[in-house]
Amino acid sequence: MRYEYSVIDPPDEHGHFLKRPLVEIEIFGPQGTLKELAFIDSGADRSLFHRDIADLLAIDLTHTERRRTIGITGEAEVAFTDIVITLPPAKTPLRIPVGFIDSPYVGVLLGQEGFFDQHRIIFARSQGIFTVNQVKR
Amino acid sequence: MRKTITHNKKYNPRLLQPYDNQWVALTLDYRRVVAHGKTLKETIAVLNPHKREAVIFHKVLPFNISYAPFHA
Repeated sequence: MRYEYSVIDPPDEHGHFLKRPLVEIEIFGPQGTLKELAFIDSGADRSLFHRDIADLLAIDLTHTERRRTIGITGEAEVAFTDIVITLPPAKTPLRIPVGFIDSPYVGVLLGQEGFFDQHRIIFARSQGIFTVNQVKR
Repeated sequence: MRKTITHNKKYNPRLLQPYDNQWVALTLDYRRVVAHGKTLKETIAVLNPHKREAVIFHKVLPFNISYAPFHA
């Protein structure tokens, strides 16, 4: 699937507009689903979602694995568990490991482990597009 | 010339300008923000429960920062 980069407005002090690779995903939990506009982050080892998402979907994090994670806000112990998402219009469920963190700088980040493993992702920023295609196994 | 087909509905970038560092709920056509708040829970609380699945949530990152992982 081919996507256009999303432009972030307002521009910076030099008049440059940031562009980010954003895709719509649906996140599944025991208590329903949420649609989110997610940031594909090739620089992230693993996916990170805001902890509110786990609470709202009743995703139990009490016995999950804790991993040290370093990000823009410093270092934290993050609770990781496997989550099912879909990438509309595809309906194929994807199971990926996700860390849940209470950070003002994290919404939904799709990182390398799990998400990139299951897709062939090509960034063509000079053309303003990127492609995300599921790898057939 | 081949027409480019893209799979993301483009929102008007200016639509999100008032929501610096907030969570927003967008309509499925990305044309309107129907709720916003400092947290996702606060944003959802504004919506009718049956509308939760009829919107797309997004965290608008602060406009005055670039995003890159580092540890100061």
